[in-house]
Amino acid sequence: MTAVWVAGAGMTRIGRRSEALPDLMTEAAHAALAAAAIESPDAIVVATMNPEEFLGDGNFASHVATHMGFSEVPTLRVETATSSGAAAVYTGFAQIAAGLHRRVLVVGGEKMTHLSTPRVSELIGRSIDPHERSYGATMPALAGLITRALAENGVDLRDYSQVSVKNHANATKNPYAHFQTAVTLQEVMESRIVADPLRLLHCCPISDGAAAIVLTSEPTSVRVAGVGQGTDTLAVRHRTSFTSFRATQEAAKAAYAMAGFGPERVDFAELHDAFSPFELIALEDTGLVAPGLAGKITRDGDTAMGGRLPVNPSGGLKARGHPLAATGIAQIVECVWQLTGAASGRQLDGRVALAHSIGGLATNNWVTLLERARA
Amino acid sequence: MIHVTLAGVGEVVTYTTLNSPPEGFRSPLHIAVIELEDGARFVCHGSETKGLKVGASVAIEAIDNVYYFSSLGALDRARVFWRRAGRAGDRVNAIARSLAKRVLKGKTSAEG
Repeated sequence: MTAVWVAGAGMTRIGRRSEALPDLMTEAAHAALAAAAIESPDAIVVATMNPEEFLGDGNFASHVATHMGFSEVPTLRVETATSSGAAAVYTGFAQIAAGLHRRVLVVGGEKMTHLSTPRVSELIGRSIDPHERSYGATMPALAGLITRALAENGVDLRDYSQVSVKNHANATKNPYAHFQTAVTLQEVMESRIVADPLRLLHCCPISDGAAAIVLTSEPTSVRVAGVGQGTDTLAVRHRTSFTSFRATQEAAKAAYAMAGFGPERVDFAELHDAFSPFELIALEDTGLVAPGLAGKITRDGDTAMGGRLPVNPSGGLKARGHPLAATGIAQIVECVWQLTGAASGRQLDGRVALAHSIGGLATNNWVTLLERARA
Repeated sequence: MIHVTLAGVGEVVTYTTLNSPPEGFRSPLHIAVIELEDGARFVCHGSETKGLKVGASVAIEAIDNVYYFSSLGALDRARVFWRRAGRAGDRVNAIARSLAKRVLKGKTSAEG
């Protein structure tokens, strides 16, 4: 298997954007290509979760490639619901690892803020099991069921509220973040209830944006050390656990096996906190924290910027924002910037980064491990 | 005729309440996952989650193929009522069911 390296990374500012999605994706792609000093890739992998319904546009791989001026470059689109960006990274990785291409542009994005919140909620909710949906289950509803189960397991409202406080604080240092404002623990704990016990400031916003990376077979300073995928039943009610995600556990296991090292080597992580309790679940499912301790180490500040294991230096989905298919790639952009000393104003000192992305309600998850090469 | 199946007694796995449910559902919308003794799990609607606890026993029944949970005490009371009413209680049952439906059913006719 050919080793796969990251040659460049770029993204747009996340938030409420007036530009069309192909414009946002072109901006991110050109930033990544410029960082890689590559004019044209050998292949393009495009990630968008649902441009057919969000925008009314189909054939989106060709649409975007043509818009970028790369209509002659082989292009395809990848989709695994909200983790589509991470799936696209995997696809590009596989193309290089298999020796099919040498330089692959991976670009993902989503445009949602032009639609009403109930409409966005409905469209995202279509990735839920149809029977559960027929009972009114939305993503926040299922997250509420999971948060209730966590609470019964001793995870306190303060614990997952602190995740929101931390991630908002991190985003104040990230010019690409949707929310560059801090929130207090009290504001989070007193925000309005969305799906009891989940409150508004435990939920990620609706965002527009795009992110891109260039993967190559030629060594650079950052190697993709491992990529793992994990899956689970579409129906949440049929799962054995409501307090952990099998899909994350399996993805992490596969990524560590490919990398040849375990969670003890990870210096910082970007975790999928679409709902802030999910960051606590991910910390334990990826093995970064022993079972039952995620709440405590968050309270103790271990996952804050100055802590032992910084989590979501970008601000996470909660504060950087969650333009669906951009997110899995934006997480890796942040990891690459951190590993190469390009995260000005929020720079960490680390050699190994972990990115974790959830597709649907944890039906199709990904863990990607990035390692800075020894100089 | 309204088809009623009494599924019996189950245990609360988890539950939530939506204050802004999707279109076609009444607010607040109470949703619970209930596990029957044989391990089968159901997503259910309910009229209230106040006082509900994970692990607690609740009654579960289907009305028009939609599952509902309710506090066990209420069902016990209903059973006693139905038994006492006997055959003559058929009409009472129908009234009780339509009342229960009106109270419990979250969907509007648009969902119908």
